[in-house]
Amino acid sequence: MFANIVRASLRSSLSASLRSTTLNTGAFRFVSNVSKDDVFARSIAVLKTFELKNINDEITSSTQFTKDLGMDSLDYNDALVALEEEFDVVFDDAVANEITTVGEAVDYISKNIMPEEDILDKEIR
Amino acid sequence: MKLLTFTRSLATQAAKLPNIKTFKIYRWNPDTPEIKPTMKSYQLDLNQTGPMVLDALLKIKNEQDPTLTLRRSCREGICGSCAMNIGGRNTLACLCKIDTDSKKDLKIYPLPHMYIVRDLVPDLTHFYKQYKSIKPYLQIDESKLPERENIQSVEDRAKLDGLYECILCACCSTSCPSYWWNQQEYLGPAVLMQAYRWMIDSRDTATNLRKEMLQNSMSLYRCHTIMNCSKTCPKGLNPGGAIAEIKKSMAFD
Amino acid sequence: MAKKFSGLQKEALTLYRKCLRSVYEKPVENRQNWFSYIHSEFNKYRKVSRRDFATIEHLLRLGNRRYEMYKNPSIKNVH
Repeated sequence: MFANIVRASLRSSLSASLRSTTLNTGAFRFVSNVSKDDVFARSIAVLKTFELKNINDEITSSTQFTKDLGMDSLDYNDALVALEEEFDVVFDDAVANEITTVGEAVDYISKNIMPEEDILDKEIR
Repeated sequence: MKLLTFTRSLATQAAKLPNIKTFKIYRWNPDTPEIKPTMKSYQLDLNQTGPMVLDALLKIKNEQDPTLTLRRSCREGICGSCAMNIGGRNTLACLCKIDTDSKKDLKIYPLPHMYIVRDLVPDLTHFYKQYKSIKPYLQIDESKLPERENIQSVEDRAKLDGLYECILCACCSTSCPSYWWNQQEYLGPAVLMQAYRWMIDSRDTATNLRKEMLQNSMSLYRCHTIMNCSKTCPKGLNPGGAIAEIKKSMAFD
Repeated sequence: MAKKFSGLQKEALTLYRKCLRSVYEKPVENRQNWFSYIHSEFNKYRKVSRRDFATIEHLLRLGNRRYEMYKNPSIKNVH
């Protein structure tokens, strides 16, 4: 329970710091999409907040949620929803049930993520 | 004198002779959903039991098995809570006499083809939603609002007899094979009879809207005049007849 | 993970995701309670056989009903 709270707070602070770095670089702000590397880095930060099997192994885009990270179907759906919250995207049911690797998740997010400006616009509206 | 006492004691003895009947009751516990439903047997001495099935069920619950779960309230056939399938027929436990032939077991199930909450308690959520969907209340055009009482002639009021008495126990709907197979779309006899009750109410002005709502292949026309509804109704009403009247009134629309 | 999910498994996962997403509609300070609650409810039935269709269908109905109830914004916390 305590670990969970730490995990949750860690998750929000990590993503906040990462987000601020993206904003600071500035270059991406005028590109229509957030870069894939950026999505990847932030995704891994989110994943690290979960209990993983091989915590010290490097996570790559071909890392499988079940085999490599030791997650069962419920666990990695936890991760997917945490990613949804991080990037403000929603995985289609059909897509979410097919995703097996970190790379597939990152691809989907990169394709469907809203540019930061649009999010700001939406919030203002 | 002695003889008289003797015969009297014989008579009382005969009356006191226990008449044991077996009740087989459907049991299912949602807390252990992986355990399948079972039929559990209970024995009751009919001489010690009230005349109705509800009396027997409550006696079992009080004296033998407090975990037996059922709905009941008025015990006089006006609330519709204790609707269940008794000896193969949907009826109200409080209005159903126990067959005193103790050689025959009595089987009691919840209303058929309904999701079960526990034991004899069916989930009627969808049934009530369907009832709500027909807007079971008086709808009047603003322009036609009467200035004082909303008066109805004796003849017009008489048209509602045999319709308004329905207590929505769901015995009829859950006895209907059409309703079993198409519960999601077909409204079922109980709800359709109430739709009719509001259609022919002389004070209601939404009749055409009400008809339009039923003008599709599922809501009304899944009724194939099987008439289980009218046969089973514990209040002696005729939902099948009411549905036929709706069909007649919509035939040329 | 080469194996595809069955229809019922997909339904269960969809429900699970719906539940998790709805947690983010709840006040921040109570979200951990909601996560714990969802995890414990799903964990209860991890051992149900995948062939036990009747049970799974029942649990899905139950879960969806409870989801509809708890997602009401006036419900803020769970214990």
